[in-house]
Amino acid sequence: MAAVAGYGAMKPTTKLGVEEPQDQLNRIHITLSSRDVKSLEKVCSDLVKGAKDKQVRVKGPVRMPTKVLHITTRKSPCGEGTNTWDRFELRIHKRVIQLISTKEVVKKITEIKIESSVEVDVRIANL
Amino acid sequence: MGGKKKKSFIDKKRSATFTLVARDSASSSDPLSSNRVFVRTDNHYDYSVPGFLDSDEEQYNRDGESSIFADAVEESGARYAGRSNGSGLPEEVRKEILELGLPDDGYNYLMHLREIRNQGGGSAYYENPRARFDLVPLDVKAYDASRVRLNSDAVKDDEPGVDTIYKVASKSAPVRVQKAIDPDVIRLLDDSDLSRFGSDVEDLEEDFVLMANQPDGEEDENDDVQVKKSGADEEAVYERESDSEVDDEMDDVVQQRVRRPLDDAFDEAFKEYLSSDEDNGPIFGDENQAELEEKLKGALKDFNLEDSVQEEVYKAPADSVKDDQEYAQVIRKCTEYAQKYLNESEGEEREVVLVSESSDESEMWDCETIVSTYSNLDNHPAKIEAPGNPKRRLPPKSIPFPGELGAGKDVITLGGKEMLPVNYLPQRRKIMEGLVREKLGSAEKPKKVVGEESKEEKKERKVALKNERREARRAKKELKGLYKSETQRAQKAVAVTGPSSIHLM
Repeated sequence: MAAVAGYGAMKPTTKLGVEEPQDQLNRIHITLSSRDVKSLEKVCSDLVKGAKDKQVRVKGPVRMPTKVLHITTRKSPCGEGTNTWDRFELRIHKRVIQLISTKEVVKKITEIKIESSVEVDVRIANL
Repeated sequence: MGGKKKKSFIDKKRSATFTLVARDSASSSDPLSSNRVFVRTDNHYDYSVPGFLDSDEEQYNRDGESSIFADAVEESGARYAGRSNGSGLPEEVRKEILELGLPDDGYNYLMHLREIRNQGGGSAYYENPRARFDLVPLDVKAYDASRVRLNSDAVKDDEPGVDTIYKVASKSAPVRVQKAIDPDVIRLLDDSDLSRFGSDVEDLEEDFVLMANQPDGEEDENDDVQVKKSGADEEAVYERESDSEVDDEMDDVVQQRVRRPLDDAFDEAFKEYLSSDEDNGPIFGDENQAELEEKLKGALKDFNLEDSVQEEVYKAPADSVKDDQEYAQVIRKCTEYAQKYLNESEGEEREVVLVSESSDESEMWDCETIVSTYSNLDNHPAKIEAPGNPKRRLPPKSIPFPGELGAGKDVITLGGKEMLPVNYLPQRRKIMEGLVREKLGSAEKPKKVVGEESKEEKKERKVALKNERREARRAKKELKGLYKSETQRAQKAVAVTGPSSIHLM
């Protein structure tokens, strides 16, 4: 309820019919996650740059804390020998970008080349 | 955390969520479209977002008959309110499936049907435009029988052209046949001089056995005659063979060439040669030897053999050239020209070219050079640092056995699955020494200020230290021998329970 009320109270700064006549503004929430920081950062920067070029309100990229998944196993396949252990880890990085703009513009922005190692989740809500 | 939660940017319940997934290449994939498409992942169907997806992405998300998810098992039936049939396939498709006798369970079996075009039973017929079937294959050997002479019994008349096979053949047709005999065979048969089969060792005659068995007087004569005879026999035999088998080709070759007047002349000369009784072979008779000697001597007179043999000084052939000969003059002239050319060039440009010789001294490497020839593949240069203290990680001396923090020295903690004593291992030499010191009851002497220790005291101190160490070593050896198996079990337990950074034994 509170969320809905808050929703209703939030009006866009631009009124329909004045600055953005036809298009309905949407809130778009993009989550990017990957195991590879470099490609992730690249995709993030591309998105933010593209959004800024199109004069779209951008928030981000917000860096979520990386999740590290550990696996600790004995190195030896049998039980013999000095007891040495392997410590494997998998790091998941997550970035969040928020935009407020029309759908067409968003489509254009997200048409950048995204590397296959980066997973993209988009959530759209009407304003 | 008091207070209400911060207002989230997007209300989850009133939003559409999309995920970028890899495109299934079966459906319309042109190179312009990207590899991945947005697919809707949430279930709030009252909130639709037109215009966000491309047309082909729409196709992905659409749950129509052509979507790849059309035949997926539905999770909640209430969602798909707009459906008329329950199996998910259009009516025509269902009818066809039923006609074929396949079960009607919503799966499109028509996808697996195949058109039958070739009745090849697994293999298809391929039309080869370049195949020629008019040639008789090599498996069939066809012989040219046009020149076969018939036996006179079969021939009724004695006419000249009658004994050919055409008269008796019921049917004859012109057919192009390949040669029945391999060209290799023909080549071998053609090899009339038989030089390849002659032996390298020419010492023995061909029928040396017979010769050896004969009486001595007749040897000389019989040699020649027999050799000639055997040669003639061979030739005759060979000719007969060639007549019958190779006749076709040989005759063809011979008759193809037009006879010239030279051929006639040759034939006459040949006949004369054969008919003459003279011995036309190599002459080794006595009457001609004197002539031969003279001839031989005079043959080489023109050439100066004596010069090159008699002198003791070694000379190149060019040096022993005399001036009265033509080529000597030519050579001399060449050398003159060369000299002239060389002298000219020398006078005009004098370039001093410094060639750095690599002598032994300059090959000496200094340390800079040595390091630079190593490649980083083999040599990983690291920053040289002062060696750190290796015993940093171990606990302080006051605790003889790590892991017993606060538990007291006499309490042995048990751990692990088997409840074995954990960390019951002597760790360091110094710890052992400390124990020994306690046993012996020697109190540590108060440490004097450095520089004020007298020599005797220093000596005493050092001796005491040595003794301690000796005792410690002995005690350690004893313990080790006694409790070897225990040590192993303790190791196992430590491995399971404690962190692996603890250095065991």
